[in-house]
Amino acid sequence: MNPREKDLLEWQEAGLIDEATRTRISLYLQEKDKHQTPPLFALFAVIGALLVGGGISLLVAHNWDKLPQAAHLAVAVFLLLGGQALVFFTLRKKKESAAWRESSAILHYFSLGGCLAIISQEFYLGGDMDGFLLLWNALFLPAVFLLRSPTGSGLAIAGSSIVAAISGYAFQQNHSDYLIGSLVLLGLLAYFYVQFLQGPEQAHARRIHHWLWALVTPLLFGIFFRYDTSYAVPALGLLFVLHRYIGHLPRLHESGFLASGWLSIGTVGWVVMMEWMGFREYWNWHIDERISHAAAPLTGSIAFFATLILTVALGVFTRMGQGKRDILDFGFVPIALSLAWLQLLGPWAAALFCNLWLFVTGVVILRKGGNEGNLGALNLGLAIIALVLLTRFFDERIDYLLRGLAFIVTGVAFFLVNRHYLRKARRKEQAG
Amino acid sequence: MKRNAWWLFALLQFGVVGWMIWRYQRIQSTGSVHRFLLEPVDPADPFRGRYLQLSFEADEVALCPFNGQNPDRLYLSLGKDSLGFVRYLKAGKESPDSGEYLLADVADVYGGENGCATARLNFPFDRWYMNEQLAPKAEKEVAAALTRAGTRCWLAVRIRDGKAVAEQLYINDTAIADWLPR
Repeated sequence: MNPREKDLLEWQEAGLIDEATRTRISLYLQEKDKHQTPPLFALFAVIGALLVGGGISLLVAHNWDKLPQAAHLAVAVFLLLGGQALVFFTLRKKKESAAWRESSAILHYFSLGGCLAIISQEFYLGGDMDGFLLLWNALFLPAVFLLRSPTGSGLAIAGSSIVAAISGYAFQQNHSDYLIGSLVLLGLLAYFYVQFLQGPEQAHARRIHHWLWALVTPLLFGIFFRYDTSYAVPALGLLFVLHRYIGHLPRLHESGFLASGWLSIGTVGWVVMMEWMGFREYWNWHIDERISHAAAPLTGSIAFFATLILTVALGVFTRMGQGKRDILDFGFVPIALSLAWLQLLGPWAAALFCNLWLFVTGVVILRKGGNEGNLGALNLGLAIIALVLLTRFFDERIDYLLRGLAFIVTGVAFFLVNRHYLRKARRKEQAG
Repeated sequence: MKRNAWWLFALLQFGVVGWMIWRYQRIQSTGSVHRFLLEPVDPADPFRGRYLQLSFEADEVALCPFNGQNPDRLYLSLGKDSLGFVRYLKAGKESPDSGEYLLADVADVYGGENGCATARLNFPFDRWYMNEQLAPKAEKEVAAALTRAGTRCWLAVRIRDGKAVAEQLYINDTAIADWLPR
């Protein structure tokens, strides 16, 4: 018996629902189940299709040089038509099945790649990996939208990001057209992410996409700092604050901290960048870089100030305007101010200010976690404080005695605070 | 609606793949043959397999006069030396009115102090794909051949309207596949 049927019977016996209601709910669930693929089956279909697709790619890469050219090209066309036919069949007969949609998208992706690889081998086409991947992913993109396939979207995001990284970081010369092409593809895939991955049935796929996009954006953001890296760390810090704002947008919001890649990566990324800027050596390096790249194109500086304006504007007009203030949402303030301190007083002032702000952030989060009985926030606050102290472990300018005592006090605080709040939570549970 | 859209996109995919095959097949069957001297190594591509990475002796061309602007691409007018290998008669931003020519990407430009600069070239035929067992052997054979006096490694390339397709890789006058011990 279906576990849900068992529950319904139990509820009927307990007098919560009558027999007619139980039958109606049961029929509704049966009808719903008919159109849905069990999640585990869809997962196995995805894994199976990825393995078969990867296998096709490897078989093609073997290079069957004993076959005549006509046979090679026939295999290429067969792969293309096979993948297309599979997508067509899925759209016609298995549109409701997630397993079919996902596996046909994956197999089409790899068969299309195999087809293009055979043509490259046969005509010894030049070695631009970015050009090859761009054509492959651009031709594949319509299938993502038609099949509404999150896995297909994930593959295309990975492929397009590699193109953007190769051409953007100048591993290849004269490839700005490939960079533009890949950014257009990523723009369309972002539209798919915001538009199509909604609703509870897409929850897992949406969460994976949160993480994927939150990882891809900082990786590609570095392209702006190709000529001048001096503003890269503060700009990345600002981008991570933006990540947090994106994580709070109604369409992309997830209730758990780990469920939202934007919030997780935004928070951790911002802390790491602040920690980085907490070293005086970083600011000395920043000044040297600015001098040595004075004649370089201004893309880095422009990206930094554009991100700063965007972050402040979003901070003021969206989340903070609604009164849901959180100290982490003010993460742009120390970054902007530390640059001001750098100009006015020097590297030591900028580094000290970053450390102080980070320490205060840790304390505020710790207090908030304590007041709300939120163990996750509590430990995040403690982790930030511990990180500030940990990096000072290597700071030769502070006495060993002071550093040692600060470490022991923080360590003991970890135990005591956690013990105190766990006991409090248990007492609350027992009282309830 | 979705099915109709899929027909359209499937046709587009088929059109692009068909156009690629037709385009390169046409050059391969009707383009004229040119010989490029080689210096290869053997890496691997995750999708297209093992290949010899080809670099060429004639990978630079003089830009005279040089106006200070680095070109992205150059049209190279092709001629032949006394042994029949390619040499560049002229390089320019426009395709020449007569004679054979090749369109190549410019990797970088250096010099330019006395009105002339040198452009380093990237060719569209810098890979020779081979079976995964044969490629490492081929690399060794070509490397050994390049150190032997009097041995030449070269690539025959079919060129038509500035576009090129590699045809065969030779050690002296023997195709690489025949040169290798099977």
